[in-house]
Amino acid sequence: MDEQALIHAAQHGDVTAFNQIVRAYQAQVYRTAYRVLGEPAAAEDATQDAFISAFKHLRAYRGGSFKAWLLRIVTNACYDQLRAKQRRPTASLEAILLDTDNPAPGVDRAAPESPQDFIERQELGATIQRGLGTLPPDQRMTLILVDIEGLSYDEVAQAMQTNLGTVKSRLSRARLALRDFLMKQMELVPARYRLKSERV
Amino acid sequence: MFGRNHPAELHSWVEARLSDYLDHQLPANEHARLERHLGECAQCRASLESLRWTIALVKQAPVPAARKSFALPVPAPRSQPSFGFVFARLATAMATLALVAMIGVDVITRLGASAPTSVMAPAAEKLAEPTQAIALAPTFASQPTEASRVGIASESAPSAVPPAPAFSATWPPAPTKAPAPLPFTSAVSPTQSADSAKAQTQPARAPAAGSGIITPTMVAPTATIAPTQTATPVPLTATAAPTMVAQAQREAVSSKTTTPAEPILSPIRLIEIGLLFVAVFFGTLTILLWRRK
Repeated sequence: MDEQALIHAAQHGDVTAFNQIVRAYQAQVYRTAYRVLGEPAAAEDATQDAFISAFKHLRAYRGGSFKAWLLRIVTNACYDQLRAKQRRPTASLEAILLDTDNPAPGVDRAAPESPQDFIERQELGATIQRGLGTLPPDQRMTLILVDIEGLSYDEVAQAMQTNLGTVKSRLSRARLALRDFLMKQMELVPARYRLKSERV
Repeated sequence: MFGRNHPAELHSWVEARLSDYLDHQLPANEHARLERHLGECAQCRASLESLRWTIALVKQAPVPAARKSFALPVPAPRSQPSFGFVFARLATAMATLALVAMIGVDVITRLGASAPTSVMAPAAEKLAEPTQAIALAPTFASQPTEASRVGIASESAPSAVPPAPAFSATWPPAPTKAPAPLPFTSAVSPTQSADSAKAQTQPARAPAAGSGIITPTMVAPTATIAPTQTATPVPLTATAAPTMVAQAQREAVSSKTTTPAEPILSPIRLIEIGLLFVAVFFGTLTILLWRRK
């Protein structure tokens, strides 16, 4: 059954059909939520909330990119989580993100790499996550959707309910800000990932 | 735009467009001019290179995987109710319906029985009056004082008791309602003359000296007559018998008007209680089976 047929069935209350959609998108949705929130538990909550909300409001979907429509819901769920986190900040977030000895749960370990490579990748991930944390939420979300999730500008504009010019502007500023952060924190970036001009 | 002379402003303008340049989002003319500047400016080329490195680095970051599935729970299909549950539910419904119907019939019956009783009571009294008159008429006729004192009797009789002609006018009473006087009617016919009645009751005439006075209390159907009968040492002849028969008849009529005392647990009440127990039993069973399901 193709995606449109599954969506049509789910719009008429077919939970089984909707679960097929969930299985197709849950990795991407969780990944996005994790990048935005930087915390596995919060990302899981946001992902679950997003899918529940998507099922409830599936009748409001009028065609177009379903991925963009779904990611818009995820974006809102992430913003809700961020607002909740601002109200009750947790001290453990930083430790979780930067603890390379105990990488974030659920990180894909299936890739055939040496323990050294694995550790360096975890260090890189922690540094990037910290850099993403310095960005304003709108810029962070735009950069994640474009550079990590590979959405087009139009899809991002739809997902974030804004126009194309704003997407370009946010993305440009986000990239430059993250670059500046990484350039300043170059010593935290594993050697093999550093900029060629910076490698010793 | 490239007419800006200040190098800082120029670099700032280029850097703001490097992101769009990498994604091929610039208009053709800006894209060409930016490329021309990049060929001339090492600083802007380094900036472009660092931006490209940043994007590549972000894409190399480890990918977190979800630890669980986010599929929504599928509601379980409704299981078929068991035979026992269906039976218990049906039995509860049937017993409840039967109970309600039984109570309805009971109530309607009681309402129907109570309404005619109140209507019949005066009618029974009315029916008793001629009977009383029948009973009293021979007595009056048998009294010698009444016969000798015709003047008194003729004056008082019309007001106290309906005289014979008046009585005859109302006779006979409805035979189905008051059948008791029938044996007596042969003795005292409405058409019978006062002389013949007096001849029949002649022997009992002398001692009934005081009872010949007709008072309204004598007409009263109850105890007022009884002393008259007991005080009079008249043997139970044809004159006394009709009086007692009339009294028995009145009692019979009055007993008809009063509602007979019903037993506490009539059959219909027993059926109602039984149905109530059955309904409660099967209702409880239904709830238990439903909870177990």
